[in-house]
Amino acid sequence: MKTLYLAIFLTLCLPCAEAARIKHVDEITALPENEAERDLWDVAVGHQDNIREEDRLVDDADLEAYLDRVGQRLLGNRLDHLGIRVKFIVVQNNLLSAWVYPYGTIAVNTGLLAGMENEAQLAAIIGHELSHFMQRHSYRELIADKRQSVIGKGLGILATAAVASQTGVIDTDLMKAGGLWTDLVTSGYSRKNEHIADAEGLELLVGAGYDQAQAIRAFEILKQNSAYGVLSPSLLWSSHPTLDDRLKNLTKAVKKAERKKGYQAGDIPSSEDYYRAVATAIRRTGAQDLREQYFERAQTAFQKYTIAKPDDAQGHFLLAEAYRLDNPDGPDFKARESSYQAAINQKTDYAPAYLELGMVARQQGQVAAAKQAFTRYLELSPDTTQADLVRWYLANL
Amino acid sequence: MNRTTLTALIFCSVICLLAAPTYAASDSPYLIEKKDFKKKISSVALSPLDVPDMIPLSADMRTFLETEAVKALAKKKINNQGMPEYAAIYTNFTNQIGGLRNAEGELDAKRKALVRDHAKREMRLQHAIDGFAEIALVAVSAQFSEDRAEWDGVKRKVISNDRNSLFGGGKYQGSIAGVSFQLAVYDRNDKLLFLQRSGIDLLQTRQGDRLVLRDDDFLNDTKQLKKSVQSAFKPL
Repeated sequence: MKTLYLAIFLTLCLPCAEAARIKHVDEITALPENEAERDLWDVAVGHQDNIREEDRLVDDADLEAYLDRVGQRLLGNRLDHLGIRVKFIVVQNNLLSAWVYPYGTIAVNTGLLAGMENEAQLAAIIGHELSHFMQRHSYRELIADKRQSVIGKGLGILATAAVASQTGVIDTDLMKAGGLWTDLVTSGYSRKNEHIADAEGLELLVGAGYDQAQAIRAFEILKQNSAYGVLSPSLLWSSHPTLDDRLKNLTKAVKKAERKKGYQAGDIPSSEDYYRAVATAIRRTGAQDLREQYFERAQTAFQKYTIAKPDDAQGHFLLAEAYRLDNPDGPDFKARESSYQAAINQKTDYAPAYLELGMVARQQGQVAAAKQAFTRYLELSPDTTQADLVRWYLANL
Repeated sequence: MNRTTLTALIFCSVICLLAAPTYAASDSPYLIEKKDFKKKISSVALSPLDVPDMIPLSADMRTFLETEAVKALAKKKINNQGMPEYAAIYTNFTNQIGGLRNAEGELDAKRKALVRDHAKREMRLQHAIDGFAEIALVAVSAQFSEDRAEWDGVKRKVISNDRNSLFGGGKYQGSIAGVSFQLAVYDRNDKLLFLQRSGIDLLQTRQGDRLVLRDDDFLNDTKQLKKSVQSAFKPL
């Protein structure tokens, strides 16, 4: 019986010890360190390839270069000894989410870029992901996951798995079949590792001279967006900390730092500059929100977009559409009218805006205004399918 | 267009239908809490029946289905405001743009979406409705095994014209196109709140090694049609 207890003890503890021995990138000279970690990288490459094959990557060199600058500001020369440079990819997805692959490529969803309000908030999220990379959390979790996945499979298998973990031989087929990478991406890391990444991410943020309080705001935005299903899968994983827990811890850490002698507030970069840098992602997010009928969020996205690109007529038009679709009956028509007009101000021959100005005037019984707008639409677009409808509206005013 | 092409088209449309975001896979037809739906929706404008080209439906059976839908709605104590007006607006707008078909004579999705959007805007302007109920016949993918297909709450026998085929004389399985009656209820702002489908009959038969569109007048069983309408409205 003693032997049995010893077997159970070793089975459960050896993988933990193995995971604990995995060092921070600051303490090693090469990555990956062994075959097992190389296997993990291969699985991650497969996940990244899937995104590319599914045509979900946003191909925008300027945007990637901007993210690269933010990443470099956070990291400085910390990875130089490894010869690794962090890379960024942008994924078309409205969920406010980002994740890091074990070789240092950070994937950022368009929704996250659109959701943040300034560069410091984005840097807070990127800093968190950089910490996951530097702590090699995916590799650690793999070892830990090995322990979890074998519990309940019988002592014989437990012992075998423990030895396998100890020797560093990882069953990559299991990882692929079990969707370990997908789990990490959608569910996040363990409670402990998320808290470590939050703390180290905050250090990176402060070290780069950003205002640390922006990290709190960044997590508040993530929480606000949870109503859209964002990050909700994480709540299904019992060991994963809730956003409330993380917000509480972050707030505590920030307040503590602010009370320290000699504390100096960091930089809060302008929102306008940020919106300009990520304008592509904001426009894509707004368009997707419109299609998926998240009209309030579409309004927020296009409000930001029109700040970034005030001369883009289509941006003003889509903002007006988000107002209209959110509340087609009014009674407040001013916001949409003003945005349709802003579109026309930028592009005097922007026909769709005249059509909608005509429709909103007709809706309010403003016959002369409707007539004027419809007439202008027909001058600009006499041959469209809509033109036939507009003629009917005009004839029946 | 030959029959092979038609078969390919059917499967394309079935694939598109499966690929499109749909809420029908959920157990509940409600996309919001049922009690919230009941609070929100007490009057709707019922649309005319939408039928794609691939589904053969006579004018009589179309009228029959629409009449049954009106009755089913009334039975659920949901006020049907302005169905004739909605139909008239829809027809008017369709005529204004020269029909829903493109130059090749095919139903044009963009034209259809335009008419649908403007018809709804016009109905909102004219009527204090809570939402819209849209009824349609749709082609869906049904799983079959041996000679039985099952989808949207019904089971039907797969008709085959011969047994000398690669299917192995009736020992076969796969996907086949079926026809369902679909009820979708949207709120006033065009947000989908309820979606329910009820199977009617198979759209294809087995001919040798291929599945082909049926060429018989199969959508004429009023008992079957009535049941499909009632089933779609039942959860309301």
